Order: sequence, then C-alpha cells, then structure tokens
Amino acid sequence: MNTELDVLRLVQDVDWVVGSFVANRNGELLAYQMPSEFGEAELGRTTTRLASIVRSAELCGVDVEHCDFSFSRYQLVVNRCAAGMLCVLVEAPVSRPALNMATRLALAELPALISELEAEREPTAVAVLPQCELNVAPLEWPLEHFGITDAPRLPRN
Amino acid sequence: MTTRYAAGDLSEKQPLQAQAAPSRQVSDVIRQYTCAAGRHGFRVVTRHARGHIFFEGGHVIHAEFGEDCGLRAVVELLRCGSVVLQPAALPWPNQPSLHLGPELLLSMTERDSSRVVRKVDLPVEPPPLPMPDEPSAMTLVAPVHPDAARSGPRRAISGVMPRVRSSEGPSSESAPARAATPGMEVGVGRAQPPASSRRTASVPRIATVRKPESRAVVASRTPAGSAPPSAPLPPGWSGPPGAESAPRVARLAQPTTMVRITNRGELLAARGKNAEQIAEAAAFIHGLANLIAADFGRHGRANVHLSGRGMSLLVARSEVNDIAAALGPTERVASLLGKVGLQ
Repeated sequence: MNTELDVLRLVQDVDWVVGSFVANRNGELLAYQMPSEFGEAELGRTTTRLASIVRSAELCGVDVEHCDFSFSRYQLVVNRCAAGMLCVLVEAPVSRPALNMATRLALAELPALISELEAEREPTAVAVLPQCELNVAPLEWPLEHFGITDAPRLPRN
Repeated sequence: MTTRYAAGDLSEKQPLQAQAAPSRQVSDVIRQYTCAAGRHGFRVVTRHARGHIFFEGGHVIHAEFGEDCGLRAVVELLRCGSVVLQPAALPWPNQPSLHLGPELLLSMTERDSSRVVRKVDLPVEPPPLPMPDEPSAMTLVAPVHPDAARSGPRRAISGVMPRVRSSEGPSSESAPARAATPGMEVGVGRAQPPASSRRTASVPRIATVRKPESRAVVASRTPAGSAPPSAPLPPGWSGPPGAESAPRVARLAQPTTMVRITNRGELLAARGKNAEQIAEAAAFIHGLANLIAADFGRHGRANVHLSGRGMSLLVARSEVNDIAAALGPTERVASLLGKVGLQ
C-alpha cells in the first residue's frame, strides 16, 4: 500500500467521512480519495480556491491553520501545515473528536507525503524548446524600402 | 458622581446634574430621560462590561455595551440590572442606531427582546473572558454569558439527522450519501472523469453518492516549488499549559471586528478596526466558498470559518440574507459558530 493511501485511509476510517484530498501549499491537488462522483477537475479548482481563501484571510491577520466550510449538512474540513493542506469532506453527524484525532495523525505524515508526491510528479513540457541550430540566414534590413541606400549591410555567412 | 452631556455639539445645552445615583437601573435612566429634552450621553459601567448610551429628544438613539451595539446593547443593558453611570467618554454618534421609542424599549421582556433582536441584529457575542490576573477570574468557573442566566430545561433536538450505520449498507433510501470504506476501489494512477453527468437541478450531487466506490489517486499536475522541509505542530496541539497565557491575554484584549455586507459586497454596517478590509475579504471568501459549494453540488448557503493561533475569521450568511463577517479572538467568535452550523 502506498503512503498516500495510508494517510488518506486514516481519515477515511472515521464514520461519516465522505472523502479526503491533499494539496500542496500553492493549492495544487496532489492526491485524493473521493467517491467517483467527484472529478479531478472539481477538486483541483477547489484546492486552488482554498489557497486563495487562505491568502485573503492571512491578509486580514489570521494565520490560518484550520478552515471549516459548511454546506448544509456537509462540511469541508481543511487542516493546514507548512507543506500543504489536508481537506476532508464529512457529513454533519461526524464525530468531531474522532475526526480531529485522525486528522492529527494524518497531518503528522503529511509533510513527508507531500514532499514525496511532488518529487514523483513528472516534469511537463513547459517552455523548454529543443536546442536546434539555426542555419537561417539573417534577414537584410529593408532600408531601401525607406529610401536609405548607403547604410552598412549586415554581413552574410 | 455626576453626569454630563456627551462630547460634541452640546455646550449650549443645560446638563442634568447629579441625577444619576452611583448605581441605577438602566430602565430608570431611560424613563428619566424620556422626559428630558436635548442630548444626553452616559458611560455605563457594570462588573462585566462597559458601554455607552445616548439620548436625544427623549429617545435612545445609540447604545454600545461590551461587544454589542444598537438594540442588542440596550437589551443587554436592561438585563444587567444595576449599573454605574459616568460621564460619556465617546463623542456623539455620527448617526443613530436606534429608532424605537422608549416605551417599546422598556416593554421588551427578556423573551420578547431576544425574538426581536435575532431578526434585526448580528448574533450576540459573549462578553470578554476574564483575564487570568483579575481577582474575580479566580472565582469564575466559566465565562458568564448573558443568556446563560436564563433558567429552564434545555431543549432536546432529535430526529434532525437520520443516522445510518455503515453496516446497514448504502441501499437504504434514507441513508445519506457516504463512501463506505469496505469495498472501496483504490488505486494509483491518473484520475478518470466520472462516466455520467453528475449535476442536475433537482438532485444534489453529493446526495446521489450511493456507490461505495472511491479512489485514491495521485494527481499528475504541473510541478511546483519544493515544499517546506518541516511542518509545525498540528492545529490544536500546543505547548505546555500556560505557555500561551500572555499571547492569549493580548489576543482577548483585541476588539472583534464585525461587518455586514450585501451579496454584492456593499458595506451595510461595520464595527471595529480594518472594517473595510474585512468586508472585502468577506465578499471574496463568500464568493469562493459558494463556488466550492457548487463544485460539491451544494448550492446555497456556504459558511466559512478560518482560524489559527487563536484568531478567527467567520464569514456566514445572516438571517436577513446578507453576509456577516467577524474577525477576532476565537474564544469570542466561538458562540457564533454554532449558530451557523460550524461547531
């Protein structure tokens, strides 16, 4: 069993926990264990928005460690650490003490998990162009077009 | 002890001198100044809180008491019994916060007032907790809330949330949507989008979660900066007892900022410092929280509580359908959390 499963299973074993997911400090989704009805796109948007909410609260002077969202009978419980955040979707009858204990255990493993997940992520092809040799002759400056004929020309290879 | 007019444009008026006894009932003061013309302002001192009350033309136009303001403050003043009146220390209020006549104010019994106030004002906040170095704090077991003095049996709430054990299985119609751990499909790999369209107008998406299927997936996304090497203690874990007493005292001394804004972010009412910044943050947070709720299939009220290091920011939809936000020590905001379903 992988480490992320261990960490997410810690909170999943608590009664009335619907699912959980992990994001890094920048709000990028890293791992999740959610029912299939919740897609990766929605979870990714959620973690990005959570990061924005946390930043706006920090501007108001709150050093956010814990965040609760209430959507009628469902709650999204977010716990932050220096490495990232653990988000748990629960239903209202959840036992808060049990959830808190499971969350603390998971948070203790979270920094190592996030470091591992970020190290495993493959680099994507972003703005890395192949180093190819440019054999294109330099273009002559079309000075004649402007009526300039005695200007020095660029040397040709 | 003498009374005088509140600071402001009152120098030409005749003050009512020495009519306030060292300890008086607020209701008596209101009755007295109902018949008095002009402007009068007093500082009100009780054992647990301080406040002000302002009269103009026989009407109470503004009151502050503890963390309360307006009608709620008058109600709390009427409840607290004997008070000591002192000269007003605040300038005359810029605009009145009360428009009710004195008869209506005085006719408010405890039950009636709570019913009225819940409709028109922010939720009540408990008075500041006693400081550890105060002598009276040694005799108090718990902070005394104004509502705590009410006698009567607690109302039992039952049948609100039908609970279904996980062993009953997901086939029960009344069972809430829950991903049970047994039978959960777990794997590591790229997430697959759900096969069917999930969102309908009538059926909430979360409520349709019936299958005990869930996945553990490592998301493959763009790389980001390296994570910090270490993490602080988890939330709720602190050092030895008493280690945070000084910061806690400093925190509790901070006033609570409370704002009310419309759904479009327009400021309706504000109290405390940095109110405009809190209003902007509240509007932003409320909007994002609604988007998050929509992504989870829950459209409607989304309440948010952010906390850390003893400070809390609460953003919630109020009973009159505008947005209320409170920023202050967590101990003070805690009484509001239960009212918005966050406790």
